[in-house]
Amino acid sequence: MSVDMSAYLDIFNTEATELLASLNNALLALERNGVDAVQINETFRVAHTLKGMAATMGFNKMAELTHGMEALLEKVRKGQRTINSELLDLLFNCLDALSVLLKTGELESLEELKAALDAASTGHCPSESGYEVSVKFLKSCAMPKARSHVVIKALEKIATVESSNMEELSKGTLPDSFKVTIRSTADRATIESVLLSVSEVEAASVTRFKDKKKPVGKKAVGEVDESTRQPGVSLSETIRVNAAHLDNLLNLVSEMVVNRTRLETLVSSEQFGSLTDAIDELGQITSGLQEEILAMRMIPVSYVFNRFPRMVRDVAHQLRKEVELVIEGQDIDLDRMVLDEISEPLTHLLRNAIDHGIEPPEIRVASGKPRTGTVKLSAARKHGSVVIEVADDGRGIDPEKIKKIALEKGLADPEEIASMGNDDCYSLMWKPGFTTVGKATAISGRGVGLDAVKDKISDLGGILRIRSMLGSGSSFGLEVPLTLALIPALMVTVRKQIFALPLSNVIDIASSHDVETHRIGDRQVIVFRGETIPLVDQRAIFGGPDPDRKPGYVVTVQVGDDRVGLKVERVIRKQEIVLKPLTCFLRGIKSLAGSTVLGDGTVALVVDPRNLLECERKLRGAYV
Amino acid sequence: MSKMVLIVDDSRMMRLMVRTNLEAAGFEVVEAEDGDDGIEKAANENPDLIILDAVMPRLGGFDALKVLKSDSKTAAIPVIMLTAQSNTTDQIEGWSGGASEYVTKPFNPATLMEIVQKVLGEEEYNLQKKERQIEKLTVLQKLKERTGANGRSEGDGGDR
Repeated sequence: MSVDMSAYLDIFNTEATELLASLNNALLALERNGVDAVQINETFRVAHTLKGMAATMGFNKMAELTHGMEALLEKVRKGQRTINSELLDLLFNCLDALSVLLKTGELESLEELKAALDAASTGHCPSESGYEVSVKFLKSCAMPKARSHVVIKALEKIATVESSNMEELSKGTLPDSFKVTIRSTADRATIESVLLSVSEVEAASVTRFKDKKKPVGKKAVGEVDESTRQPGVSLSETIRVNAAHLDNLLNLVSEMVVNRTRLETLVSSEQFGSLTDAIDELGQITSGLQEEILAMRMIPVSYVFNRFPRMVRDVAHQLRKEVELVIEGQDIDLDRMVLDEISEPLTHLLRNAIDHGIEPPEIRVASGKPRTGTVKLSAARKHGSVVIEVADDGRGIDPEKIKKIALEKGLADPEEIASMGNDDCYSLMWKPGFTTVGKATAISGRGVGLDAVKDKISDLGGILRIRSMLGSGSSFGLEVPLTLALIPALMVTVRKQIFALPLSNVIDIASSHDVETHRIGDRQVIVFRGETIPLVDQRAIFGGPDPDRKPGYVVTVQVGDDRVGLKVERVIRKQEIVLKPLTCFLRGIKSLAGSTVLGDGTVALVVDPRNLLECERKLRGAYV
Repeated sequence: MSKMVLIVDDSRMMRLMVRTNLEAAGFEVVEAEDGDDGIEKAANENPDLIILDAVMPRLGGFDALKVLKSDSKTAAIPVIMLTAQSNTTDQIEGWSGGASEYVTKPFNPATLMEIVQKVLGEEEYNLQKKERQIEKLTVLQKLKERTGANGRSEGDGGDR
């Protein structure tokens, strides 16, 4: 009887992904802490559970691979094998292979891995290593080519010969030495003695490709890293809901909130006594519902943070750097959509920190720093947003170097660059085309630069901040909104049209009578708490020249460290709005973030405060 | 009244798969995700049958089986081991621990259902046998009462 397994495919994929994440954490913990019975058991359990699931689903390749892992780990559990870096590398390779299998169902290296697992668990032959063999024949050797064949034959008894420079020998141009690449389970001394046993061989040298295979011992690390712990959510407290349902639910509730406001407006104008109570109650219910559903969308940042310890390990290995990743605040919640969006920028910043920030161990030691560099990834709540920071204790950023590169590449006006303070000049780094490394490396130069990170964060309505101290490290901070669903906004009118300003950016509202306005060159400025800031009038968001100079209000808006005053006619009220994207023909207007439907059903445009300043700069050129 | 089956497995997928098949066959299903959870639910829910995985976090299946069989409250509940642990030593551990059946993953849901029915049927059979035994004994008792001392002496004689 054939059984339809497709019904279980979704749950298989979800659960297998979770199991691979646990496996990753367990392996990282094993690597860091050495032999640890709890983690060995966990690794075994994951391999075993996955084997059972895959076999039941009929995914034989995955079942075979996990079976091999299970067999090896069983030996480790029983103390018949010890965990060392070779074994861990093998298990990490298996983990990667399982991810590939999960995604594609295919795996080229399956047989290879199975053989390696088999060899590792039977222990009869330790896993193979790659060697480069170099043989020097006696000067008197008449037929080096024939001799080299003898060498190959001798090597084949103990190793797999992968390549040699035999071709060069046959061309008659005698190279200094005959070189062969082999894979063998034998150690260097054995290989050397085999080579020297061939007659007419004057000297032989054997070098291993990877010469860092030492057993992993107990490391003197104080406490177990936060990152290896399971996310701070216990399974019984969570339910799995399709995100699409949540989005629909949220949309419905948002509409309900809008409808409530509309009812409120109706009631306040007609004054129906008892209806008011009912509306009040409806208000409480919808607010409660809204909060609850928003909370459902929130997931701990650990969801994304958990994948970084492995990535940091791999990148550090590749770059031959010693890096410890410290993770803080991983139980901070963030809207799943925001979290999804920042995962790539964070990956990029972490790679950067290891590649450009952390120095090689020798240099660190020479400059009196600990040999192992620290990269700290932290999350913290700040008002209505979350600040995520990637900080390293590496070499720091040299402002002068930044300025020099920006000048060379013509990324900014020379005068502007010259007037920049140290902190300001970091913003040059996210100009498109800026890269401090001459050649893009495989690690961090993947065609996405800091400009891509900056763009992504800006799209989310967030801010990127760079701080650095030359010689002691840098920090990249991302400030992103907790959620993108509902935004508290200040409703204002400009030319009788209603606009919404995100309230999180508004820092002050004042009557235009009370505001000192000055003109500096071609720009209008106001003095706000002793600071001179540019004033933007309705032209910036509405276009066209300023028709009248009627008194109104000045709303001071802050974006990152920049402040700007915005002239409006009327300030209506504070209101929660649902941001809807603009239709395609309005999408090009930079000063607008979107639109929203108001209580009475009319549409209001939502101002994007981040672009106000830019618009103001453009306007000066266009109208003055 | 439908019979209740307790599934103890750390894999959500496995639980869902077994549950779907059991429910289709008219069983009521209770789930537990590790050995500890399983023991607790077995004691509280008093299921008619337990399907038990071997390798689980915290308390594993074999240890859970020992606890289940040593507790008078749960000892009589038949247990089917359902596990990817297919080597003989493990199977022996399962059988000697008091499991009624040992099914290895990958399993055919239809086969599992047959085994479930069989184990429950055996249980039913045993129960009926027990009932018949009691019935027989009751009749015997009544017979003894009627025959008086005669019957007693017969019984005494049998003891010697």
